[in-house]
Amino acid sequence: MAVEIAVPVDEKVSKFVKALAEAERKSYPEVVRLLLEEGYRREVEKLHASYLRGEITLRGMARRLGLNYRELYQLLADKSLPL
Amino acid sequence: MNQMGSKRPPKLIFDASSLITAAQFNVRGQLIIEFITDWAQIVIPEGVKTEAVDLGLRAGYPDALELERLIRSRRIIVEKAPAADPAFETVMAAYEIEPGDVEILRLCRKTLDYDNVVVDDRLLYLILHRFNMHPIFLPDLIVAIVRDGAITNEIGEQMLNVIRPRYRSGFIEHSLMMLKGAI
Repeated sequence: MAVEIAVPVDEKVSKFVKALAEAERKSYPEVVRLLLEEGYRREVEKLHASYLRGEITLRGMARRLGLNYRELYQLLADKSLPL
Repeated sequence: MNQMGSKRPPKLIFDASSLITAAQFNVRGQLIIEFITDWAQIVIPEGVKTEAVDLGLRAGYPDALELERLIRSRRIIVEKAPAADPAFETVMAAYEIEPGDVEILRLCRKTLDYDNVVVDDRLLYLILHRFNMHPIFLPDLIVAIVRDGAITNEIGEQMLNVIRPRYRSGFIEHSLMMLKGAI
């Protein structure tokens, strides 16, 4: 499910997004979406690494990602990340 | 497996991730959780029911329906896990783990006659081990069921292979070697 969000960003960030959009021949919103998704992917991987090192529990990982337990279990399965 | 030495069925406390995995995969048309409930009495805290069953039903997962059926038929028992003694609660607070994690530990503290707590969560396993609460990973539980003679070696191997996608490299290979008696 896609959710639309409006977020004010620093002018430099906005210029970077415009430059990237031009270079990659993508729209401004599409580049913002891709950057956000990349940040989210990295955060999931970072938290999963913390989980595997025994620093946090699965429930701790779920809370940090704003997910309930079931949503986290499914996210890990979808991304082939082990328990 | 039955650490109390009696002939009653083993009593297992289950964490949510192990429970969901066991309810999602099947061998020869039977869910792994059903093989387990044929052999043992399963107990879960209310929080695990919420996570595995209630949230699963809301999201439309078929395994949640199966778990609900097993709860209705009392093959899985749901129990309250009230706060324990002050020293125990002090340690719980110091670990800074989540309320659902604490519920598992409290249920283990409260339940005197359980044999193992089935858990795949690394940190939770470690804490349970430090409390001498007999944690066991789901793959090793499967090995234990085979060793008890409740399922064949072949079915045990099939179970381990179907749950392989949910485990880090090495876990399933290790349990398969245990089944073969090589380790």
